[in-house]
Amino acid sequence: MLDLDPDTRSETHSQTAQSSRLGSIVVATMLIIIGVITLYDTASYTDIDSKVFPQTSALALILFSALAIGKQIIQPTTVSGIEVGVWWRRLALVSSMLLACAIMPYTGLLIACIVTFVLGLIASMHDQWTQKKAMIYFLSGVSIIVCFYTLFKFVLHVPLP
Amino acid sequence: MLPIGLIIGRYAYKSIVTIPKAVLVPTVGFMTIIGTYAIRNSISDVVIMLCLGVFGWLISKYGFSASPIVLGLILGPIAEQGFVQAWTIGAAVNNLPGMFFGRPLSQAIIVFTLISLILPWYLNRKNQIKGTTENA
Repeated sequence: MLDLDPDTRSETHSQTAQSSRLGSIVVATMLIIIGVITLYDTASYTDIDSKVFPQTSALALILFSALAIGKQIIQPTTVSGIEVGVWWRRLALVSSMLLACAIMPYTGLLIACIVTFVLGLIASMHDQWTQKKAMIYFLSGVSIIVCFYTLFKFVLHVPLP
Repeated sequence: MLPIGLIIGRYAYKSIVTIPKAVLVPTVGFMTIIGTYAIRNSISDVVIMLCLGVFGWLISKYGFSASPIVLGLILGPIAEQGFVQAWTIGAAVNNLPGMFFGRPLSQAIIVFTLISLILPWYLNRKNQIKGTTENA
């Protein structure tokens, strides 16, 4: 937690609340768009019975999303919103997993997942690194991956790359 | 599942929370990758899982809980099948409202749904009134 003076903290809180409000409206609008697309798509269904459920769900989605927008306008949420400070860790974790998908066809799942684990370990490490800690974490991660890989490939016969 | 939850879970879950986050986070990441891949042996599924994971995280930050969406994705096809079946039968016997609202089971579900919708609002309101009375 950053040690901020009351004015700066209040300003940051206000900015977060405003961003949260805007974000909620954007997400609700996206859900409305998804509902409208569903309604448009189901209009071409020839079977009347088949279109009732998706149309009902889409209408409910539109209605409740509109209510969520209305609530944000009338009574804005002051909590939630994306806090700053650990963005790079989250981004690094997702990027490392995407990297695993990219290299998996060339290196196989085992190597790709070990690389992902190491990058994820670096991204989620908040404490001070020591040589002993690094070795233990790395070896425990590799053993977990190898065990699961063996389980899936040789016991459950999943055709892993 | 009950024996696992009661016997193994009692000890296993306790030890899981003691594992350092730095190891737990990439391990969960690995398990999501291998679990998603194993369903259809498709890397595209893993990419979709990641994209939906980020989407779920983003919307949860803006007050939209991801749990009902996941529940809807799992129960949606079952609900749709039941809905269409009831709709078809109702239309065939010319009693559509009776098919959805006239059966004892559906009436019980409707009542419980209404209770679950109204009860939190009612309790909140009751606490507010109680708080106002105590302050006055």
